[in-house]
Amino acid sequence: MFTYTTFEIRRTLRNIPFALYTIIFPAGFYLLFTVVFGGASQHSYAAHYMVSMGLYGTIGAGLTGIGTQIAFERRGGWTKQLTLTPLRPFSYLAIKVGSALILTLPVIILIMAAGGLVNHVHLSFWSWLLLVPLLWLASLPFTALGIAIAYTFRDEAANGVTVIFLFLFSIAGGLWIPPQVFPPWLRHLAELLPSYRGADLGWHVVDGHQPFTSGTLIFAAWLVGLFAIAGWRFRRAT
Amino acid sequence: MNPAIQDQDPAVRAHALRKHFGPVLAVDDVDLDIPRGQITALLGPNGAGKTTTFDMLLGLRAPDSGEIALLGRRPRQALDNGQVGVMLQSGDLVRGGTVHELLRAFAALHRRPAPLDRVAAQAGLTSLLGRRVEKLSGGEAQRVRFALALIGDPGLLILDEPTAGLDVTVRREFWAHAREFAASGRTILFSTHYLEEADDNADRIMVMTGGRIVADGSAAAIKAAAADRVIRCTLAGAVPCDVLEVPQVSSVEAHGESMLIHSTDADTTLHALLRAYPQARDIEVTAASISDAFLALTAGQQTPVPAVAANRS
Repeated sequence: MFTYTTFEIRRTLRNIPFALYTIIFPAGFYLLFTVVFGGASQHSYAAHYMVSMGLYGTIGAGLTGIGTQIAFERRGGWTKQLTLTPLRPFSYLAIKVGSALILTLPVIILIMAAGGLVNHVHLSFWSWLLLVPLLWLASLPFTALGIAIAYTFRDEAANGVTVIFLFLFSIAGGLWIPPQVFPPWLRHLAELLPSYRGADLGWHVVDGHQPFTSGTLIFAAWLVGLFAIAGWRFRRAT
Repeated sequence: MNPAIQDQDPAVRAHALRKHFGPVLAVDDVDLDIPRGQITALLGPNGAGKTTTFDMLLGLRAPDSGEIALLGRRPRQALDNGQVGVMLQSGDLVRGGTVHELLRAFAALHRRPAPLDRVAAQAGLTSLLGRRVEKLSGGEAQRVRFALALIGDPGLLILDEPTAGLDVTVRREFWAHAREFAASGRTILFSTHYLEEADDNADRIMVMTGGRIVADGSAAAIKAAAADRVIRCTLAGAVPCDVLEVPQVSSVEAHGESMLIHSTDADTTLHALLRAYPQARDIEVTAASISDAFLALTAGQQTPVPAVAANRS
């Protein structure tokens, strides 16, 4: 499984549009909205937006890496070919999730580099270190969503649904536009979303607090719910 | 288990396989008994039930009823041991890697993979190992898919229409590699709707149509049987064993005065029959079921006979 996972990562990185879109784009977007359009002078905004774009990038890499890729491999018959080897469908899924998680590392590191080196975001060593697993954790509901999409829709449709969910959750969850400037009704909606609640873990850390609050329960509920749906779709399809 | 006993198990044994899709009986009471070391073709038109049969052999679909053993084992077990290599009818290769990377990653999923150099040589890929998968031609991609089937070092290859959509040269190349593989005493079971592909490459042909095996034998026997006709008539006062003496009659079934006469040449039989039995009535001549299968095989071609000739040149 290790050799196959390495193969997955290498061939995904060679897909230049995918690499640009998922790895470079979030960091570019971050710099655009902090440096070019101003706001980088406010430390809190630069740090908060680093978390927001970090999560947006992590969700994007996970959703497309899992949802779209699995859907395409199912349609093309590759997963059928794999079921004729000793590899079990669940192990295949584990490989996909594992390589997607590893592929989010460069996304996170690039944005943190932009935050620390360009926008001079100052955090303690442990806070920097904590942000990596927190962003992974925050993207897990979307991993589950990707699995559910992959085992429900076919290739092109899966890609479309993936993009819709990515933008919907990113924008409404306050990852693109800070939730502080949302009208109250939208703010209330945002606070119910896993994207907002996931980013909130990181926002607390950059503010110097511990990540978990009572709001984390909303996040946990999404996590459990989406994994239940993912498990149901996976079992039905395999 | 004792390996000596294992070796005596046939490559494929299936008994009374049946599969419904809604009201359609896709596979209807199929028996397969394929000894080791043979190349067997499952020949039939599209929709005959070939892919459904293979899917059941491979455990990809559960049969409604029936039993299956591959090399004496349950399909899943044989696949997990790498004893069965498979080329499915449709199978896009994943992109982004070289042929070598793909083969190595695929080999790593197996418990006892064959050495990659050997597999590459067997599939004719040695000079293509560094090529990116998305840059392969159709024939080259087919060789990679053949290599994937060989990676577990299988004793049995199951190939579902392995050359569908390929041109004649590529098809011939493919079979040169496949026959070489079979020459080492291994078994190949493949499906096709090209009569000449079955004829050129198989030791044995099983003809499938409408979910049933309608003929089973050597290529020569099958082709001869394809000319068979059934003459149905009422012969008052005739004795079946006398009717058997009529030229070109291969068998006779009597139901009272009504007879079912199988003939290898309907014209000759009918002329002789009418001379011997002028009282014959209700005469009806129909193709045997295997002929129906062959008609269906050639129905898609605009000019059946020249097309066969052209494919051979």
